[in-house]
Amino acid sequence: MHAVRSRPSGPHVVSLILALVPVLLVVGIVAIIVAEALPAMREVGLPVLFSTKFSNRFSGTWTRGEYGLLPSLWGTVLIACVAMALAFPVSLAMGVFITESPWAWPARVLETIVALFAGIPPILYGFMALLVAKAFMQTNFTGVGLPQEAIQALPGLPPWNPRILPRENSVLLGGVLLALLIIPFIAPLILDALRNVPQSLVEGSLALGANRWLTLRRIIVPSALPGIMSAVTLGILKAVGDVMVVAFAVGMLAESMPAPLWDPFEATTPLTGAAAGLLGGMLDGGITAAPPLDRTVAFFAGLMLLVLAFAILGLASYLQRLVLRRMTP
Amino acid sequence: MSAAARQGLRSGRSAAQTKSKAGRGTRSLIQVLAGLAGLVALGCVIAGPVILLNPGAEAAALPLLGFLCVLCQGLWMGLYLEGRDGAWRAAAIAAAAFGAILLLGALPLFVTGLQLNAVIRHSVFSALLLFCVGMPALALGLLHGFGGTPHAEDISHYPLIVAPVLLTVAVYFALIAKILADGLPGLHWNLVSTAFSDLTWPTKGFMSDGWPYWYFNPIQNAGLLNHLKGTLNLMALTCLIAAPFGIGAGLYLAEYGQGRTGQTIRLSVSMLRGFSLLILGLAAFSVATATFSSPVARIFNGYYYDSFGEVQTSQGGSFITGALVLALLVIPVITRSTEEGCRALPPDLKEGSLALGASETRTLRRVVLPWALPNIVTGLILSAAEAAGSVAVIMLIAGRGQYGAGLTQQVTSLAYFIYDSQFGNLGFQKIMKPYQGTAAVLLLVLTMGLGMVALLIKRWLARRFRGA
Repeated sequence: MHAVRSRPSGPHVVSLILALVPVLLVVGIVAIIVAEALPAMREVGLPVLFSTKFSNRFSGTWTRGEYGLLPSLWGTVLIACVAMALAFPVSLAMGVFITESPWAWPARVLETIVALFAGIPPILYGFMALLVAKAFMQTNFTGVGLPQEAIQALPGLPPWNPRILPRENSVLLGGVLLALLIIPFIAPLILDALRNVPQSLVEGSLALGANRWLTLRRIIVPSALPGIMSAVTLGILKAVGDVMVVAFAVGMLAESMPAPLWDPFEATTPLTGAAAGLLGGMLDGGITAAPPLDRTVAFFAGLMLLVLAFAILGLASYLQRLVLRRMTP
Repeated sequence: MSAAARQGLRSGRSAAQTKSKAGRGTRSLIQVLAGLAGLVALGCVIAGPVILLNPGAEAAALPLLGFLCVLCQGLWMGLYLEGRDGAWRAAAIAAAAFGAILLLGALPLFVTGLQLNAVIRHSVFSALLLFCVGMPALALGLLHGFGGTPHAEDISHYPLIVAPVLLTVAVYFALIAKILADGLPGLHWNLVSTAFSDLTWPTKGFMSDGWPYWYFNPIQNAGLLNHLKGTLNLMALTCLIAAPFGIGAGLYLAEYGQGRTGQTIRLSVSMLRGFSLLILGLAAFSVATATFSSPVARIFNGYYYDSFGEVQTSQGGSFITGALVLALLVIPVITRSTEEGCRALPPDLKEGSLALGASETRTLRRVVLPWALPNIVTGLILSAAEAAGSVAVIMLIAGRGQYGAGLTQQVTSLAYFIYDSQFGNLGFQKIMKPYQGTAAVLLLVLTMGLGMVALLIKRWLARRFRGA
């Protein structure tokens, strides 16, 4: 199709023009986010934005000018860790189940089921959080049917602390549902990576007397590592960027850092939830309802998300190159 | 790999069988012990999730762990006396089970030192312990129950693969069943055929002496009609907007995308997919506020007639704005599927067409695009499902849909309704909260149905257009 190099053909030009539109749109979106986030740096200031006190007009005690986004950033890290810690082993097990199953039909059934589950929208996972997990958490994590006063009267308990009050929202709950959301997306990618391992390597390993488990551990998974890594990167990006599960299962307000930093039972909302809570949207009287400072801080949270996503992508591609270089001496 | 497996590897299965003839007594004792330990461990693994779901069953944890502890100690002694590797594993599992029993016994009813936001019950700990101790014990029992050969090592790792998969699939099905059980009873024809409204409308009334007067008549209807219409609107409009760009980009990447331009386009398309949905939502919000007091507000913000018959601009975005931003979300889907379809074309067909004198345009239209059609259609269906299901993109501009679902009215959809009825204002919640589950069922059926149709239609179109 490159017969005439000097003058590109008609379809070439048309498809190029159509294909350049997404590029322009990406540039435009980044420009919008940056332009709307700049006033936050100027008027609120970076020291305030990176402090640990946060409150918006929906919180119980609203102090103007508390725009610390550090708790939300930490919440993003926490929920991504919880979600990936659950989703990655299960997805890997699914991939291994499908490739190594001695019978064909369970593998085919599982593959179809996972492909169908990939179509469930995030809002339904949020609704599941509401429906099942909250009820479950309430019965399992909120004392033994004791009233609050009785719990408070127990010896060894610190003086009244709202943190100990039963609250069904938590990073753990959000992480579990996010894991359910992520699994159908990364399991097929891991499966592809496992399938693309050259058959000669596997057969060589088996012929040398290794059993299937050893072959899996020492040959198949290490050879599929670059593919598995890109799948994990995608999963992390999905966990970092999700809004709906977070809104339903964790909430939209991260007021301070969790008390032990790693505590997954706190409702430390990620950046996405904090930004959505600041803007409010139609829930809060429409697009002009949010005060200008709230609005620009929300866009600053969006900018932080963008930077975080770029950092994750960059780190992942660096690690991937490292692994590839070690695999091909 | 353990030494036992290595030994078995060297001698093979036949050697193991001959050896079993020689030392039948001790071997069968070890196998019996291993089988028992495996059975109890299986019980532990099953009991873990059961206890998690039914806290009353936690009383089974202590006896199960005790049995496991005793059996693993017996296995350890047997393996140790026979001088076989794996004894330390049995000892470790027995020690872990013993420690678990002690921990469960000594655990206070309330754990507050961790600053947990709720008090964790015994059941969660016992479930975790049963599962964590039971899995390795099950593997060990299988390994020595099958004679410690390399094949037995394979078998001993089956639970490690099968248990997470089965548990996860069970959780999915349980959650979907819960949604259906919650929403199906509320599904009624009236709900789907009437539109939500919560208005006060000026109405003319007459007093007893015939004197007319005006009063504000509250009109409250519960219904999902406009949300349903809006979902269909969004699906169609998004696909319509995204299709040319997605298909064009896919064609370009497959046919001419080797150079630097192709790399840039590929990067930006994958970045559109990597963006958080919130970024797109913020962009939609920004566009909607920018057009709010401009002459194009009627198109991009939507309008409605208030109860005095005057035109008001919506405090949000119209279906056109929503679909424009949703198109950004689905362009990568269409691009990827188109590119895949074009790449799957055997080069002979294209070269044959070109060699017979067909122009490039003609080849593209008659050979390449028909071949890629199954993939393109699948991509379009999947992107329609995505447009129906994504809330985060439109949640900052969407409304309640009480003024209709025309293209220049405020955007709304079933998925947004679920969000709105949870966090929206109290009046709305009072009318519509009972139907949240029904909307969830409708959305679930819609998206999963579209996914199933995509799977089937891909197969059918491939047979039709590729003769495969």
